Amino acid sequence: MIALTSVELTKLFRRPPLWLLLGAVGAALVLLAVAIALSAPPEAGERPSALELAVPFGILAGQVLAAIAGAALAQEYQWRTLPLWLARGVARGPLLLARFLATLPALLLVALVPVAVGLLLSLGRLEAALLASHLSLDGLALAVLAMAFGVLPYVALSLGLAVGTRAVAVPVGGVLLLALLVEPIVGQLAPRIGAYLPSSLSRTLLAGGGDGRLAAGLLIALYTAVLLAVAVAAFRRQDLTG
Amino acid sequence: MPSSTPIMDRAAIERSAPPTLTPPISTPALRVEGLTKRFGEVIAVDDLTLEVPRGTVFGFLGPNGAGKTTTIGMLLGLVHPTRGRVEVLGRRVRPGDPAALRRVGALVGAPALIPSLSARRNLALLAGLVPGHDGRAAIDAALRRVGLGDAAHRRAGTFSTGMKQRLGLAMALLEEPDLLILDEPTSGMDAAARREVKNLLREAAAEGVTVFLSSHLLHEIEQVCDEVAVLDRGRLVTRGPVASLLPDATMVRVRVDDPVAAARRLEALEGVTRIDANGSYLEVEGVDPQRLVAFLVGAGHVPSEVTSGRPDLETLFLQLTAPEDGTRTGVEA
Repeated sequence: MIALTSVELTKLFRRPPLWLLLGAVGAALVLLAVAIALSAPPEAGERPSALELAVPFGILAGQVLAAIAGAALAQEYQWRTLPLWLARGVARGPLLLARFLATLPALLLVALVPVAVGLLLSLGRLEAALLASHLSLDGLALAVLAMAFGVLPYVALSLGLAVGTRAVAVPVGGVLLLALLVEPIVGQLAPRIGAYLPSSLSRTLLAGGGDGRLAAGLLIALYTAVLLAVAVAAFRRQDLTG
Repeated sequence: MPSSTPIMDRAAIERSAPPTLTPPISTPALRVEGLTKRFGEVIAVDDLTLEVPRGTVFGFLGPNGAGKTTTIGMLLGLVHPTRGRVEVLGRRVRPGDPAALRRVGALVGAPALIPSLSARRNLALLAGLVPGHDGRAAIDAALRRVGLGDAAHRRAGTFSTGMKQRLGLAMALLEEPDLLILDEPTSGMDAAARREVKNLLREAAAEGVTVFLSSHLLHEIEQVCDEVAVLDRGRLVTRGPVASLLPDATMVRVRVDDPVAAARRLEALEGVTRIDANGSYLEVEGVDPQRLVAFLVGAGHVPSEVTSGRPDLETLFLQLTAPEDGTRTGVEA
């Protein structure tokens, strides 16, 4: 399993999509912070700090990474590398789990980059000493972990869609449709249901109090486990012909 | 069905042999029993039973849609059989638990590679599946063996079709497998490269590697294989050593102005066992060339060209897999 995960990490980190995503997230955050700074004078007071902007950026980037993870898996059906590996004696369940595990460090990185960029931009605006007095490194670390953890259901969903359809477009479309359209609409029309969807749970995890945070964490874990179990079961039953 | 050696107690082998232990040499490299695969109402493979002795080069032939790819998929644990069992190197193959396949190298269809990575990196990923194993020496050896030593650091996506095929072969040869399962390994290669692959397969067999080879290049199969099996509509129609399958009868090929009329007249000639009209040619078996020419001249069909020889594997293949309605849209293994 360790060897398999290591191979999956190599595949993820040695290819361009992850690095392009990280670059795009950092650049977009810088551009947005600059645009806000230029459009509102400092005395306006209520403008969001770059650090505050980092959180939605981190979550969105994590969701995009989840979509990329599924797309990469679907792509490997087309490249036929999945059948090749299975024909070399790799078991299906561990292969999919390794793919999931390999996504975790990338998720952390994707959550870390906007926070780091936001921190650097904040340093430019405030006195370093003032910032240091308000800054909680523990809080930042927890926020990065929570952002990454909150995206796990999307990763599991994306892998499941890739297994089920073997088409690159479906995990990308499915994850982004859920995150950017379905969840906001359900949140507006049926807030009580929307509160139990992954993005709301993710926000609760980042901002909620003790019990709410624990419940949100457990529900996110449950979503992830169920979706991943379905993906593994489908993968194990699949005939890989053609 | 011919069998090279007595079969050992398979259950005992399964119980005792750890995945990495080479099973006794007396077990066949490949054993298939009653293998069946249905896709809904369609029977892709029907009760296939087959044994491939160790150290042989075994040809697996059949027209399009005969069930070859599905069979190979089941051998490699990629397709779940509806019924029957597959044993590779003495161990049962089960999809989802394919530990039996750790000593198998495969190239099935188009080579599987990640285009953005170099040839070496593609092989390294595969070598990395073996925990704690430093595959560098094995990767170098595999690349040299297929003639890609100089292209090791080039991105696989920039390779020509033939080079990709070579890389696929290098992947199959990595870790020195005991059994090679190859589907169209020379696809996209030029004549020189195909010859190299043929030599490579013979060398591998000489070193004790068993080769299970599916190809539509029947003359290559005839040159390189010790035994062949022919599959048609999911069923095994024949198997055995190539030499024993080819009929002893001489085939005479004549060019005449009106092959159809000449063929009708030839039905009266004693000893003729087969007549095929093929364009302006007639292929006739069961009669020697002199008698045939004399008969045709006497019947008013003077041949403008006469050749003779033993029927080859292609002729046998076409006979065995002829469609029931007499039409044929394409010939492929």
